[in-house]
Amino acid sequence: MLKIGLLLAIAAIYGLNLLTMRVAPADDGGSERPSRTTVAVTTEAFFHEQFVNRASEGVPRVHAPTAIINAEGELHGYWYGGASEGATDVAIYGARFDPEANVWRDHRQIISPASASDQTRYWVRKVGNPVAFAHPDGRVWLFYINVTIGGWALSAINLATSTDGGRSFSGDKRLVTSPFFNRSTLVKTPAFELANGFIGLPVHHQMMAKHAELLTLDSAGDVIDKRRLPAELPALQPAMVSLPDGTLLAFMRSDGGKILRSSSENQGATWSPAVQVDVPNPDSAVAVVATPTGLLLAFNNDPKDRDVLSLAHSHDGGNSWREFHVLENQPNLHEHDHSNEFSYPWFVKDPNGNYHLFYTWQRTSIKHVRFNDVWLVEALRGDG
Amino acid sequence: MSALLDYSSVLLVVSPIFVLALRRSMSFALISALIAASGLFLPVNEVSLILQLKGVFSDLSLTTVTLLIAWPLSRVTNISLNRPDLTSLCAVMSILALFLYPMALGVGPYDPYALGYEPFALLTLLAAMGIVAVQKKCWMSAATVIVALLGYWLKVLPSQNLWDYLLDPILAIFAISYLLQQAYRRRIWRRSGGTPRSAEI
Repeated sequence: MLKIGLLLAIAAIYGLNLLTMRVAPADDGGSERPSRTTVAVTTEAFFHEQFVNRASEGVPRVHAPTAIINAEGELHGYWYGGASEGATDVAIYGARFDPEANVWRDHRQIISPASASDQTRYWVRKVGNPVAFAHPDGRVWLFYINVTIGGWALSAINLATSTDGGRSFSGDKRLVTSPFFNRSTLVKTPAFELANGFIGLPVHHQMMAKHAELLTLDSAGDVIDKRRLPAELPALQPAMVSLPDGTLLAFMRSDGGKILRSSSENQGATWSPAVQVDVPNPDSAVAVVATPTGLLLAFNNDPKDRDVLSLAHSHDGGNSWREFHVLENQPNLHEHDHSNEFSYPWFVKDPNGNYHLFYTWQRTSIKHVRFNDVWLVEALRGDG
Repeated sequence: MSALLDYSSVLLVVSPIFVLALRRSMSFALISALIAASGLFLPVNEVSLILQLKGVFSDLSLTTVTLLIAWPLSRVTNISLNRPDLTSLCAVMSILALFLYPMALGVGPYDPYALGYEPFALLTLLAAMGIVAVQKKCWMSAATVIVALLGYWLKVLPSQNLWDYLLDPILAIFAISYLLQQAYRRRIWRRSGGTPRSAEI
Protein backbone atom coordinates (compact mmCIF):
# COMPACT_ATOMS: atom_id res chain seq x y z
CA MET A 1 0.00 0.00 0.00
CA LEU A 2 2.85 2.37 0.96
CA LYS A 3 4.66 1.49 -2.25
CA ILE A 4 1.62 2.23 -4.40
CA GLY A 5 1.02 5.51 -2.58
CA LEU A 6 4.62 6.63 -3.06
CA LEU A 7 4.64 5.63 -6.73
CA LEU A 8 1.45 7.59 -7.30
CA ALA A 9 2.94 10.57 -5.44
CA ILE A 10 6.07 10.53 -7.60
CA ALA A 11 4.00 10.27 -10.77
CA ALA A 12 1.71 13.09 -9.66
CA ILE A 13 4.53 15.49 -8.70
CA TYR A 14 6.43 14.62 -11.89
CA GLY A 15 3.31 15.41 -13.93
CA LEU A 16 2.70 18.67 -12.06
CA ASN A 17 6.30 19.73 -12.67
CA LEU A 18 5.97 19.06 -16.39
CA LEU A 19 2.67 20.96 -16.54
CA THR A 20 4.13 24.00 -14.81
CA MET A 21 7.40 24.18 -16.73
CA ARG A 22 7.94 27.74 -17.87
CA VAL A 23 6.73 28.89 -21.27
CA ALA A 24 8.12 32.06 -22.84
CA PRO A 25 5.55 34.88 -23.14
CA ALA A 26 4.56 36.02 -26.60
CA ASP A 27 6.39 39.00 -28.04
CA ASP A 28 4.06 41.96 -27.66
CA GLY A 29 6.40 44.33 -29.42
CA GLY A 30 7.63 45.96 -26.22
CA SER A 31 6.49 49.30 -24.84
CA GLU A 32 7.18 52.83 -25.90
CA ARG A 33 9.21 55.19 -23.76
CA PRO A 34 7.74 58.55 -22.67
CA SER A 35 8.96 61.37 -24.82
CA ARG A 36 10.47 63.57 -22.13
CA THR A 37 13.93 64.40 -23.34
CA THR A 38 17.23 64.44 -21.56
CA VAL A 39 19.04 66.55 -24.09
CA ALA A 40 17.21 68.85 -26.50
CA VAL A 41 16.67 67.68 -30.07
CA THR A 42 18.99 69.52 -32.42
CA THR A 43 20.13 69.21 -36.00
CA GLU A 44 23.42 70.87 -35.06
CA ALA A 45 26.33 68.58 -34.37
CA PHE A 46 27.25 68.50 -30.72
CA PHE A 47 29.94 66.75 -28.74
CA HIS A 48 30.26 67.57 -25.07
CA GLU A 49 32.48 66.17 -22.32
CA GLN A 50 32.14 66.58 -18.58
CA PHE A 51 32.83 64.75 -15.34
CA VAL A 52 30.06 63.06 -13.39
CA ASN A 53 32.16 63.24 -10.25
CA ARG A 54 35.69 64.11 -9.18
CA ALA A 55 37.84 62.30 -6.69
CA SER A 56 36.93 63.18 -3.14
CA GLU A 57 38.57 62.49 0.16
CA GLY A 58 36.11 59.78 1.10
CA VAL A 59 35.97 58.17 -2.33
CA PRO A 60 39.42 58.47 -3.91
CA ARG A 61 39.02 55.69 -6.48
CA VAL A 62 36.04 55.11 -8.77
CA HIS A 63 35.35 52.62 -11.55
CA ALA A 64 32.81 50.84 -13.74
CA PRO A 65 30.15 53.43 -14.64
CA THR A 66 26.68 52.45 -15.76
CA ALA A 67 23.67 54.59 -16.69
CA ILE A 68 20.02 54.45 -17.70
CA ILE A 69 17.33 56.70 -19.05
CA ASN A 70 14.39 56.10 -16.75
CA ALA A 71 10.70 56.02 -17.72
CA GLU A 72 10.48 59.79 -17.14
CA GLY A 73 13.37 60.42 -19.49
CA GLU A 74 15.88 61.25 -16.75
CA LEU A 75 19.49 60.18 -17.06
CA HIS A 76 20.87 58.44 -13.96
CA GLY A 77 24.42 57.22 -13.56
CA TYR A 78 25.99 54.77 -11.09
CA TRP A 79 29.51 53.56 -10.38
CA TYR A 80 31.49 52.04 -7.56
CA GLY A 81 34.03 53.84 -5.43
CA GLY A 82 36.20 53.50 -2.34
CA ALA A 83 39.79 53.35 -1.18
CA SER A 84 40.72 50.98 -4.00
CA GLU A 85 39.19 48.31 -6.20
CA GLY A 86 38.00 45.45 -4.03
CA ALA A 87 38.43 47.31 -0.74
CA THR A 88 35.78 46.61 1.87
CA ASP A 89 34.80 50.30 1.98
CA VAL A 90 33.78 50.20 -1.67
CA ALA A 91 30.15 51.19 -2.20
CA ILE A 92 27.96 51.91 -5.19
CA TYR A 93 27.25 55.57 -5.82
CA GLY A 94 24.79 57.36 -8.06
CA ALA A 95 23.86 60.77 -9.43
CA ARG A 96 21.24 62.36 -11.70
CA PHE A 97 21.92 64.50 -14.74
CA ASP A 98 20.22 67.89 -14.80
CA PRO A 99 19.78 68.70 -18.52
CA GLU A 100 18.71 72.31 -17.84
CA ALA A 101 21.93 73.18 -16.04
CA ASN A 102 24.07 70.51 -17.73
CA VAL A 103 25.39 69.28 -14.40
CA TRP A 104 25.26 66.10 -12.38
CA ARG A 105 23.34 66.42 -9.12
CA ASP A 106 22.16 64.37 -6.14
CA HIS A 107 25.39 62.44 -5.66
CA ARG A 108 24.69 59.77 -3.10
CA GLN A 109 25.64 56.33 -1.88
CA ILE A 110 23.23 53.72 -3.21
CA ILE A 111 24.46 50.35 -1.91
CA SER A 112 27.13 49.34 0.60
CA PRO A 113 28.26 45.85 1.67
CA ALA A 114 26.33 46.33 4.92
CA SER A 115 23.10 47.33 3.19
CA ALA A 116 23.51 44.46 0.71
CA SER A 117 23.94 41.98 3.60
CA ASP A 118 20.84 43.33 5.33
CA GLN A 119 18.71 43.25 2.21
CA THR A 120 19.76 39.91 0.73
CA ARG A 121 20.22 38.06 4.04
CA TYR A 122 23.55 36.77 2.74
CA TRP A 123 26.81 38.14 4.07
CA VAL A 124 28.39 40.53 1.53
CA ARG A 125 31.98 41.61 2.13
CA LYS A 126 32.64 43.58 -1.05
CA VAL A 127 30.59 45.03 -3.90
CA GLY A 128 31.50 46.09 -7.44
CA ASN A 129 30.51 46.49 -11.11
CA PRO A 130 27.01 48.00 -11.05
CA VAL A 131 24.88 47.42 -14.16
CA ALA A 132 21.71 49.48 -14.46
CA PHE A 133 18.75 48.47 -16.58
CA ALA A 134 15.57 50.44 -17.29
CA HIS A 135 12.96 47.70 -17.31
CA PRO A 136 10.21 48.17 -19.91
CA ASP A 137 7.62 48.20 -17.08
CA GLY A 138 9.15 51.34 -15.55
CA ARG A 139 11.24 49.80 -12.79
CA VAL A 140 14.99 50.29 -12.72
CA TRP A 141 17.09 47.26 -11.96
CA LEU A 142 20.60 47.59 -10.60
CA PHE A 143 22.72 44.47 -10.81
CA TYR A 144 26.02 44.44 -8.96
CA ILE A 145 28.60 41.85 -8.10
CA ASN A 146 29.33 40.89 -4.53
CA VAL A 147 32.05 38.87 -2.86
CA THR A 148 31.85 36.98 0.42
CA ILE A 149 35.10 35.02 0.31
CA GLY A 150 38.04 35.16 -2.08
CA GLY A 151 38.41 37.56 -4.98
CA TRP A 152 36.31 38.65 -7.95
CA ALA A 153 36.38 35.14 -9.45
CA LEU A 154 34.17 34.01 -6.54
CA SER A 155 31.57 36.72 -7.09
CA ALA A 156 27.82 36.36 -7.18
CA ILE A 157 25.33 38.83 -8.65
CA ASN A 158 22.81 40.79 -6.62
CA LEU A 159 19.82 42.63 -8.01
CA ALA A 160 18.35 45.77 -6.41
CA THR A 161 15.13 47.34 -7.67
CA SER A 162 13.97 50.93 -7.88
CA THR A 163 10.36 51.93 -8.30
CA ASP A 164 11.14 55.66 -8.27
CA GLY A 165 13.06 55.91 -11.49
CA GLY A 166 16.46 54.98 -10.11
CA ARG A 167 16.64 57.44 -7.23
CA SER A 168 16.56 54.79 -4.50
CA PHE A 169 16.91 51.01 -4.51
CA SER A 170 15.67 48.26 -2.25
CA GLY A 171 14.66 44.60 -2.19
CA ASP A 172 18.16 43.43 -3.08
CA LYS A 173 18.29 39.73 -3.82
CA ARG A 174 21.02 37.35 -4.86
CA LEU A 175 20.57 35.81 -8.30
CA VAL A 176 21.12 32.06 -8.38
CA THR A 177 23.42 31.44 -11.34
CA SER A 178 25.79 28.64 -10.45
CA PRO A 179 25.65 25.22 -8.74
CA PHE A 180 28.95 25.76 -6.93
CA PHE A 181 27.91 27.69 -3.81
CA ASN A 182 26.36 30.14 -6.30
CA ARG A 183 29.81 31.49 -7.16
CA SER A 184 31.75 32.84 -10.12
CA THR A 185 29.22 34.77 -12.16
CA LEU A 186 30.11 38.40 -12.80
CA VAL A 187 28.29 41.21 -14.55
CA LYS A 188 29.61 44.31 -16.32
CA THR A 189 27.78 44.91 -19.61
CA PRO A 190 24.22 46.13 -20.28
CA ALA A 191 21.12 43.97 -19.97
CA PHE A 192 18.57 44.15 -22.77
CA GLU A 193 15.06 43.02 -23.63
CA LEU A 194 14.83 39.82 -25.65
CA ALA A 195 12.24 39.42 -28.42
CA ASN A 196 10.20 37.07 -26.20
CA GLY A 197 9.81 39.70 -23.48
CA PHE A 198 12.35 38.21 -21.09
CA ILE A 199 15.47 40.13 -20.08
CA GLY A 200 18.90 39.09 -21.29
CA LEU A 201 21.78 39.70 -18.89
CA PRO A 202 25.27 39.16 -20.34
CA VAL A 203 27.61 37.79 -17.67
CA HIS A 204 30.82 35.84 -17.46
CA HIS A 205 32.19 32.90 -15.52
CA GLN A 206 35.68 33.30 -14.10
CA MET A 207 36.58 30.20 -12.07
CA MET A 208 38.94 27.64 -13.67
CA ALA A 209 38.24 29.17 -17.10
CA LYS A 210 36.73 32.39 -18.40
CA HIS A 211 33.52 32.01 -20.35
CA ALA A 212 31.05 34.60 -21.62
CA GLU A 213 27.46 33.67 -20.78
CA LEU A 214 23.94 34.98 -21.24
CA LEU A 215 21.37 34.75 -18.45
CA THR A 216 17.65 35.04 -19.13
CA LEU A 217 15.57 36.68 -16.41
CA ASP A 218 11.82 36.79 -15.94
CA SER A 219 9.90 39.87 -14.77
CA ALA A 220 10.55 38.93 -11.13
CA GLY A 221 14.28 39.05 -11.80
CA ASP A 222 14.71 35.29 -11.41
CA VAL A 223 17.19 33.51 -13.64
CA ILE A 224 15.32 31.09 -15.91
CA ASP A 225 18.02 30.19 -18.41
CA LYS A 226 21.77 30.33 -18.87
CA ARG A 227 23.80 29.82 -22.03
CA ARG A 228 27.55 29.70 -22.45
CA LEU A 229 29.11 31.27 -25.55
CA PRO A 230 31.63 28.88 -27.14
CA ALA A 231 35.14 30.31 -27.46
CA GLU A 232 38.60 28.81 -27.66
CA LEU A 233 40.15 31.86 -26.00
CA PRO A 234 39.19 33.24 -22.59
CA ALA A 235 36.17 35.48 -23.12
CA LEU A 236 34.51 37.77 -20.62
CA GLN A 237 32.28 40.81 -20.22
CA PRO A 238 30.24 40.25 -23.41
CA ALA A 239 28.76 43.49 -24.76
CA MET A 240 25.66 42.53 -26.71
CA VAL A 241 23.69 44.38 -29.34
CA SER A 242 20.72 43.43 -31.49
CA LEU A 243 20.71 43.96 -35.26
CA PRO A 244 17.49 44.99 -37.07
CA ASP A 245 17.05 41.41 -38.37
CA GLY A 246 17.04 40.06 -34.80
CA THR A 247 20.59 38.73 -34.81
CA LEU A 248 22.33 39.17 -31.49
CA LEU A 249 26.01 40.05 -31.53
CA ALA A 250 28.43 39.75 -28.62
CA PHE A 251 31.79 41.53 -28.43
CA MET A 252 34.01 40.21 -25.69
CA ARG A 253 37.02 41.25 -23.71
CA SER A 254 39.88 38.77 -23.98
CA ASP A 255 43.49 38.40 -22.93
CA GLY A 256 44.33 37.22 -26.44
CA GLY A 257 45.11 40.77 -27.56
CA LYS A 258 41.99 41.22 -29.70
CA ILE A 259 38.26 41.53 -29.22
CA LEU A 260 36.19 38.38 -29.71
CA ARG A 261 32.92 38.34 -31.67
CA SER A 262 30.08 35.82 -31.56
CA SER A 263 26.55 35.87 -32.98
CA SER A 264 23.20 34.25 -32.29
CA GLU A 265 20.34 33.83 -34.74
CA ASN A 266 17.90 32.59 -32.11
CA GLN A 267 17.91 35.26 -29.41
CA GLY A 268 20.79 33.80 -27.48
CA ALA A 269 19.72 30.15 -27.36
CA THR A 270 22.82 29.12 -29.31
CA TRP A 271 25.93 31.09 -30.30
CA SER A 272 28.53 30.79 -33.02
CA PRO A 273 32.08 30.01 -31.87
CA ALA A 274 33.76 33.30 -30.94
CA VAL A 275 36.35 34.59 -33.39
CA GLN A 276 38.87 37.40 -33.06
CA VAL A 277 38.13 40.61 -34.94
CA ASP A 278 40.85 43.01 -35.93
CA VAL A 279 40.39 45.34 -32.95
CA PRO A 280 43.03 45.45 -30.20
CA ASN A 281 42.03 44.59 -26.66
CA PRO A 282 44.24 44.91 -23.56
CA ASP A 283 41.96 42.55 -21.58
CA SER A 284 39.52 45.39 -20.98
CA ALA A 285 35.77 45.84 -21.38
CA VAL A 286 34.25 47.30 -24.55
CA ALA A 287 30.89 48.96 -25.18
CA VAL A 288 28.78 48.71 -28.31
CA VAL A 289 25.62 50.47 -29.47
CA ALA A 290 23.56 50.45 -32.67
CA THR A 291 23.58 53.57 -34.87
CA PRO A 292 21.35 54.34 -37.89
CA THR A 293 24.16 53.19 -40.17
CA GLY A 294 25.76 50.34 -38.23
CA LEU A 295 27.48 49.78 -34.91
CA LEU A 296 29.51 52.05 -32.68
CA LEU A 297 32.26 50.65 -30.46
CA ALA A 298 34.14 52.25 -27.57
CA PHE A 299 37.40 50.39 -26.95
CA ASN A 300 40.99 50.68 -25.74
CA ASN A 301 42.98 50.92 -28.95
CA ASP A 302 46.05 49.14 -27.64
CA PRO A 303 46.72 45.43 -27.13
CA LYS A 304 48.42 45.97 -23.75
CA ASP A 305 47.37 49.19 -22.07
CA ARG A 306 44.19 51.05 -21.19
CA ASP A 307 45.72 54.49 -21.82
CA VAL A 308 43.98 55.05 -25.18
CA LEU A 309 40.21 55.09 -25.56
CA SER A 310 38.71 55.37 -29.04
CA LEU A 311 35.51 55.12 -31.01
CA ALA A 312 35.17 52.82 -34.02
CA HIS A 313 32.32 52.21 -36.45
CA SER A 314 31.26 49.10 -38.34
CA HIS A 315 28.98 48.79 -41.37
CA ASP A 316 29.14 45.00 -41.58
CA GLY A 317 27.77 43.70 -38.31
CA GLY A 318 30.99 44.08 -36.38
CA ASN A 319 33.19 41.97 -38.65
CA SER A 320 35.40 44.94 -39.44
CA TRP A 321 35.84 48.25 -37.64
CA ARG A 322 37.29 51.64 -38.46
CA GLU A 323 38.60 53.85 -35.68
CA PHE A 324 37.38 57.40 -36.35
CA HIS A 325 37.79 59.32 -33.09
CA VAL A 326 40.22 59.25 -30.17
CA LEU A 327 38.57 60.12 -26.87
CA GLU A 328 41.63 59.84 -24.65
CA ASN A 329 45.30 59.30 -25.38
CA GLN A 330 47.75 59.88 -22.55
CA PRO A 331 50.44 57.19 -22.77
CA ASN A 332 51.67 55.70 -19.54
CA LEU A 333 55.38 56.17 -18.94
CA HIS A 334 56.34 52.52 -18.50
CA GLU A 335 54.93 49.00 -18.33
CA HIS A 336 54.01 49.18 -14.66
CA ASP A 337 52.56 52.68 -14.81
CA HIS A 338 48.76 52.47 -14.97
CA SER A 339 47.96 56.01 -13.85
CA ASN A 340 46.43 56.87 -17.21
CA GLU A 341 43.55 54.47 -17.43
CA PHE A 342 40.46 55.20 -19.55
CA SER A 343 38.32 52.13 -19.39
CA TYR A 344 35.03 50.33 -18.86
CA PRO A 345 32.97 52.33 -21.39
CA TRP A 346 29.17 52.30 -21.20
CA PHE A 347 26.75 53.58 -23.84
CA VAL A 348 23.16 54.68 -23.38
CA LYS A 349 20.95 56.34 -26.00
CA ASP A 350 18.29 58.82 -24.95
CA PRO A 351 14.83 59.00 -26.56
CA ASN A 352 16.08 61.68 -28.98
CA GLY A 353 18.75 59.37 -30.30
CA ASN A 354 21.61 61.18 -28.58
CA TYR A 355 24.50 59.05 -27.36
CA HIS A 356 25.82 59.17 -23.80
CA LEU A 357 29.15 57.50 -23.21
CA PHE A 358 30.51 56.99 -19.71
CA TYR A 359 33.94 55.68 -18.76
CA THR A 360 36.43 55.46 -15.94
CA TRP A 361 38.87 58.38 -16.13
CA GLN A 362 42.20 57.58 -14.43
CA ARG A 363 40.25 55.67 -11.77
CA THR A 364 39.60 59.00 -10.05
CA SER A 365 36.55 60.20 -11.98
CA ILE A 366 33.71 59.12 -14.17
CA LYS A 367 33.55 60.97 -17.48
CA HIS A 368 30.36 61.62 -19.42
CA VAL A 369 30.61 62.28 -23.17
CA ARG A 370 27.50 63.03 -25.17
CA PHE A 371 27.03 63.52 -28.88
CA ASN A 372 24.41 63.18 -31.55
CA ASP A 373 24.06 61.47 -34.92
CA VAL A 374 24.98 64.69 -36.76
CA TRP A 375 28.34 64.77 -34.98
CA LEU A 376 28.73 61.04 -35.62
CA VAL A 377 28.18 61.46 -39.37
CA GLU A 378 30.61 64.37 -39.49
CA ALA A 379 33.20 62.48 -37.44
CA LEU A 380 32.87 59.44 -39.67
CA ARG A 381 33.46 61.72 -42.68
CA GLY A 382 36.54 63.03 -40.95
CA ASP A 383 35.09 66.43 -40.01
CA GLY A 384 34.47 65.67 -36.33
CA MET B 1 8.30 27.06 4.07
CA SER B 2 10.59 29.23 1.95
CA ALA B 3 11.30 31.42 4.99
CA LEU B 4 12.30 28.34 6.99
CA LEU B 5 14.51 27.06 4.20
CA ASP B 6 16.12 30.49 4.15
CA TYR B 7 17.84 29.40 7.33
CA SER B 8 18.44 25.75 6.42
CA SER B 9 22.19 26.39 6.78
CA VAL B 10 21.52 26.17 10.53
CA LEU B 11 21.29 22.41 10.02
CA LEU B 12 24.91 22.28 8.91
CA VAL B 13 25.90 23.16 12.47
CA VAL B 14 22.95 21.96 14.56
CA SER B 15 22.56 18.41 13.16
CA PRO B 16 26.16 17.26 13.84
CA ILE B 17 26.11 18.90 17.30
CA PHE B 18 22.80 17.20 18.13
CA VAL B 19 24.05 13.77 17.00
CA LEU B 20 27.31 14.12 18.93
CA ALA B 21 25.57 15.37 22.08
CA LEU B 22 23.01 12.56 21.87
CA ARG B 23 25.74 10.14 22.96
CA ARG B 24 25.37 11.66 26.42
CA SER B 25 21.61 12.18 26.69
CA MET B 26 18.56 13.39 24.82
CA SER B 27 18.12 16.49 26.98
CA PHE B 28 21.80 17.38 26.59
CA ALA B 29 21.44 16.99 22.82
CA LEU B 30 18.37 19.23 22.72
CA ILE B 31 19.97 21.94 24.86
CA SER B 32 23.21 21.80 22.84
CA ALA B 33 21.30 22.09 19.56
CA LEU B 34 19.23 24.97 20.90
CA ILE B 35 22.31 26.85 22.13
CA ALA B 36 24.11 26.26 18.82
CA ALA B 37 21.10 27.44 16.81
CA SER B 38 20.70 30.56 18.96
CA GLY B 39 24.41 31.33 18.75
CA LEU B 40 24.23 31.40 14.98
CA PHE B 41 21.98 34.45 15.14
CA LEU B 42 24.49 36.44 17.21
CA PRO B 43 26.42 39.09 15.29
CA VAL B 44 30.16 38.75 14.83
CA ASN B 45 31.73 41.85 13.27
CA GLU B 46 28.21 43.25 12.88
CA VAL B 47 27.01 40.32 10.75
CA SER B 48 25.21 37.36 12.27
CA LEU B 49 26.92 33.99 11.97
CA ILE B 50 23.97 32.56 10.06
CA LEU B 51 24.29 35.29 7.39
CA GLN B 52 28.00 34.56 7.21
CA LEU B 53 27.26 30.85 6.86
CA LYS B 54 24.68 31.55 4.15
CA GLY B 55 27.08 33.94 2.45
CA VAL B 56 29.77 31.28 2.24
CA PHE B 57 27.73 28.13 1.54
CA SER B 58 24.70 29.69 -0.16
CA ASP B 59 21.46 27.67 0.03
CA LEU B 60 21.47 23.95 0.73
CA SER B 61 19.76 21.58 -1.68
CA LEU B 62 16.61 19.88 -0.47
CA THR B 63 18.44 16.55 -0.63
CA THR B 64 21.01 17.82 1.86
CA VAL B 65 18.27 19.29 4.06
CA THR B 66 16.45 15.93 4.03
CA LEU B 67 19.62 14.06 5.00
CA LEU B 68 20.51 16.57 7.71
CA ILE B 69 17.03 16.09 9.21
CA ALA B 70 16.98 12.31 8.71
CA TRP B 71 20.38 11.81 10.35
CA PRO B 72 19.46 13.05 13.89
CA LEU B 73 15.95 11.60 13.52
CA SER B 74 17.37 8.15 12.83
CA ARG B 75 19.43 8.41 16.00
CA VAL B 76 16.48 9.56 18.10
CA THR B 77 14.10 6.89 16.79
CA ASN B 78 16.76 4.17 16.65
CA ILE B 79 15.64 3.48 13.10
CA SER B 80 19.02 3.20 11.45
CA LEU B 81 19.39 4.42 7.92
CA ASN B 82 19.32 1.60 5.43
CA ARG B 83 22.97 1.30 4.34
CA PRO B 84 22.38 0.01 0.78
CA ASP B 85 19.80 2.79 0.44
CA LEU B 86 22.30 5.44 1.50
CA THR B 87 25.01 3.89 -0.66
CA SER B 88 22.72 3.95 -3.71
CA LEU B 89 21.76 7.55 -3.04
CA CYS B 90 25.42 8.54 -2.64
CA ALA B 91 26.33 6.69 -5.84
CA VAL B 92 23.69 8.53 -7.85
CA MET B 93 24.61 11.89 -6.34
CA SER B 94 28.32 11.25 -7.00
CA ILE B 95 27.65 10.44 -10.66
CA LEU B 96 25.50 13.57 -11.04
CA ALA B 97 28.12 15.69 -9.27
CA LEU B 98 30.95 14.38 -11.44
CA PHE B 99 28.84 15.16 -14.50
CA LEU B 100 27.78 18.63 -13.33
CA TYR B 101 30.60 20.32 -11.45
CA PRO B 102 33.70 20.09 -13.68
CA MET B 103 31.88 21.56 -16.67
CA ALA B 104 29.88 24.05 -14.61
CA LEU B 105 33.13 25.25 -13.06
CA GLY B 106 34.53 26.03 -16.47
CA VAL B 107 35.89 22.88 -18.11
CA GLY B 108 34.77 23.04 -21.73
CA PRO B 109 32.28 25.17 -23.59
CA TYR B 110 29.15 23.39 -22.34
CA ASP B 111 27.54 24.08 -18.96
CA PRO B 112 25.18 21.25 -17.90
CA TYR B 113 23.72 23.54 -15.23
CA ALA B 114 21.52 24.89 -18.06
CA LEU B 115 19.75 21.50 -18.14
CA GLY B 116 18.13 22.39 -14.83
CA TYR B 117 16.12 25.28 -16.27
CA GLU B 118 14.09 23.19 -18.74
CA PRO B 119 14.53 19.99 -16.85
CA PHE B 120 12.44 17.48 -18.76
CA ALA B 121 15.34 15.02 -18.93
CA LEU B 122 16.38 15.65 -15.33
CA LEU B 123 12.80 15.40 -14.04
CA THR B 124 12.31 12.13 -15.89
CA LEU B 125 15.57 10.76 -14.50
CA LEU B 126 14.54 11.80 -11.03
CA ALA B 127 11.07 10.27 -11.31
CA ALA B 128 12.59 7.01 -12.61
CA MET B 129 15.05 7.06 -9.72
CA GLY B 130 12.15 7.52 -7.31
CA ILE B 131 10.21 4.61 -8.79
CA VAL B 132 13.23 2.30 -8.58
CA ALA B 133 13.86 3.47 -5.01
CA VAL B 134 10.29 2.64 -3.99
CA GLN B 135 10.46 -0.76 -5.73
CA LYS B 136 13.70 -1.55 -3.91
CA LYS B 137 12.27 -0.21 -0.62
CA CYS B 138 15.00 2.43 -0.46
CA TRP B 139 12.84 4.83 1.52
CA MET B 140 15.55 7.43 2.09
CA SER B 141 16.23 7.74 -1.63
CA ALA B 142 12.51 7.82 -2.38
CA ALA B 143 11.97 10.52 0.24
CA THR B 144 14.76 12.73 -1.15
CA VAL B 145 13.38 12.37 -4.68
CA ILE B 146 9.86 13.25 -3.57
CA VAL B 147 11.10 16.22 -1.51
CA ALA B 148 13.24 17.50 -4.41
CA LEU B 149 10.42 17.12 -6.96
CA LEU B 150 7.84 18.67 -4.64
CA GLY B 151 10.17 21.51 -3.64
CA TYR B 152 10.97 22.28 -7.26
CA TRP B 153 7.30 22.34 -8.17
CA LEU B 154 6.55 24.72 -5.28
CA LYS B 155 9.79 26.68 -5.96
CA VAL B 156 10.63 26.80 -2.25
CA LEU B 157 14.23 27.83 -2.94
CA PRO B 158 15.27 31.14 -4.59
CA SER B 159 16.43 29.12 -7.61
CA GLN B 160 14.44 28.17 -10.70
CA ASN B 161 16.98 25.45 -11.50
CA LEU B 162 16.25 21.82 -10.59
CA TRP B 163 19.95 21.10 -9.96
CA ASP B 164 19.84 23.43 -6.94
CA TYR B 165 17.03 21.36 -5.40
CA LEU B 166 18.86 18.11 -5.98
CA LEU B 167 22.52 18.69 -5.37
CA ASP B 168 25.02 21.03 -3.72
CA PRO B 169 28.79 20.84 -3.26
CA ILE B 170 28.49 19.78 0.39
CA LEU B 171 26.32 16.81 -0.60
CA ALA B 172 28.68 16.01 -3.48
CA ILE B 173 31.69 15.96 -1.13
CA PHE B 174 29.77 13.86 1.42
CA ALA B 175 28.54 11.37 -1.20
CA ILE B 176 31.96 10.85 -2.77
CA SER B 177 33.67 10.63 0.65
CA TYR B 178 31.08 8.12 1.88
CA LEU B 179 31.60 5.88 -1.16
CA LEU B 180 35.38 6.10 -0.82
CA GLN B 181 35.10 5.26 2.88
CA GLN B 182 32.88 2.27 2.08
CA ALA B 183 35.30 1.03 -0.56
CA TYR B 184 38.27 1.44 1.80
CA ARG B 185 36.52 -0.48 4.60
CA ARG B 186 35.54 -3.29 2.26
CA ARG B 187 39.17 -3.56 1.18
CA ILE B 188 40.38 -3.73 4.79
CA TRP B 189 37.77 -6.36 5.70
CA ARG B 190 38.59 -8.42 2.66
CA ARG B 191 42.26 -8.40 3.64
CA SER B 192 41.44 -9.37 7.21
CA GLY B 193 38.99 -12.04 6.06
CA GLY B 194 36.17 -10.51 8.13
CA THR B 195 32.58 -9.72 7.25
CA PRO B 196 32.02 -6.35 5.60
CA ARG B 197 30.00 -3.88 7.59
CA SER B 198 28.80 -0.64 6.11
CA ALA B 199 30.20 2.66 7.28
CA GLU B 200 28.34 4.56 9.93
CA ILE B 201 27.27 8.10 9.31
